[in-house]
Amino acid sequence: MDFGKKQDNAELVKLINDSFLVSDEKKALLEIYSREGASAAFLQKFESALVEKLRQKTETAIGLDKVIETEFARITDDYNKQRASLTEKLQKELADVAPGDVTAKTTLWDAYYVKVDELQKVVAGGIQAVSQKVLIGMTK
Amino acid sequence: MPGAWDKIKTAAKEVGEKVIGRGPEVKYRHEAQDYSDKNGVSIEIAQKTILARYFDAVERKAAVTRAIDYDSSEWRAVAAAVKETMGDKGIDGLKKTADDPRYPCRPVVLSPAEFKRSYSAQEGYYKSKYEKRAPDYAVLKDCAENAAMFANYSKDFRSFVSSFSGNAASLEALLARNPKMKAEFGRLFQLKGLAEKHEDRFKKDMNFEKTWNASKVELQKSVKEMLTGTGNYCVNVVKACQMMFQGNFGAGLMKGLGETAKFLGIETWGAIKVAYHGGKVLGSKVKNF
Repeated sequence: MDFGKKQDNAELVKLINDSFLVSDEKKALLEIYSREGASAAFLQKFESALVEKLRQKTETAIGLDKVIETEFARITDDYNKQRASLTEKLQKELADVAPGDVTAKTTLWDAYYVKVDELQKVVAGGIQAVSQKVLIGMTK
Repeated sequence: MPGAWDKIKTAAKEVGEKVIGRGPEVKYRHEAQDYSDKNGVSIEIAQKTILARYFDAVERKAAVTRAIDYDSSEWRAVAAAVKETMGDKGIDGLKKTADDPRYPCRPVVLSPAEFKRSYSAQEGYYKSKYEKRAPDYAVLKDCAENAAMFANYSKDFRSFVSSFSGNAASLEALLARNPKMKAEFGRLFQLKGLAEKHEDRFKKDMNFEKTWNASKVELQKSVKEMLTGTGNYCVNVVKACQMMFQGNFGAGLMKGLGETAKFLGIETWGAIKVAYHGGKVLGSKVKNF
């Protein structure tokens, strides 16, 4: 098989250079290409390299997607549990307030909402950490 | 009688007041003055009469919503009446009296059926305002109790003001002689404040949850976009190689892309397949040319 038109070859070189393969893989392919030209065997190697890398990337993406699902579920669960515990404590405290003592009730609610704010800050930090983990994972 | 210049100065001052959000105070001032002029009564009597009307409006609204409405223009009018007759610190004074242990709150006891009604009214209030969402039980329970207290005290206070509407004393003087009512009036402001706190918090929680969900969606989108970019590149390679070499290049890659597309979603896979077959047809045309 002769694929050796000059303009096509230049395009093939560009395709290799623009690919998502790592530089060592690109280098190796270009070396084979300079030796063998655009032979069927070369194209087979090029395709195999792409398939392997695509498989790796797909696996990484599926893994990262799972990380997102798992971590968000964990954070949600933690948040709900901690908030429920804060609410339970508040309800016990509210039960001791004289009926109609709006100021005492308001003080308890204020304190509760401050704690909820703190809890949400922790959650925001957790989400940030997951985001970083995923973004770093995407660059691999 | 005020001169023309005084009238202009007053009008300009009132425009300024409206601009800074004191429109209801200006309105109350005018309504009280008009009532006084038309009925030949003192401004103090007129002020109390208008205040009683404002309470009527609060009650009418409460009868519909059975909740303490965050954006209640009716309650804003009451607050304006207090500010206008007792000064800007009038509300603080009322709240302070409400905290005075000598004037404890008259408890409002709800039967289980009343509580249930009030609770579901609070739930309905929130759901109608916030995408069919409502706060958790603890908040709704508190809102239900507060709304019941608010309705009771509001009714009491309206009766109190009405019964003294013919009295020449100002509202401030009247409340000074009736500290229990003053405390109850103060409690209405406290209850409104607590209701606002709950609603502000609920809005904040909803925003927090939305940001949280959006972060998740955004992250998942980024992961998929990364892979879509890779997939698109592969399709381009297949098409370009088919064009260049007129062969059946890319069957293995397309199989690999099948797995990728499964993760990305059926729509993406459809687009990839169309692109592949388009490339094949184009390739065969070049070959047969």
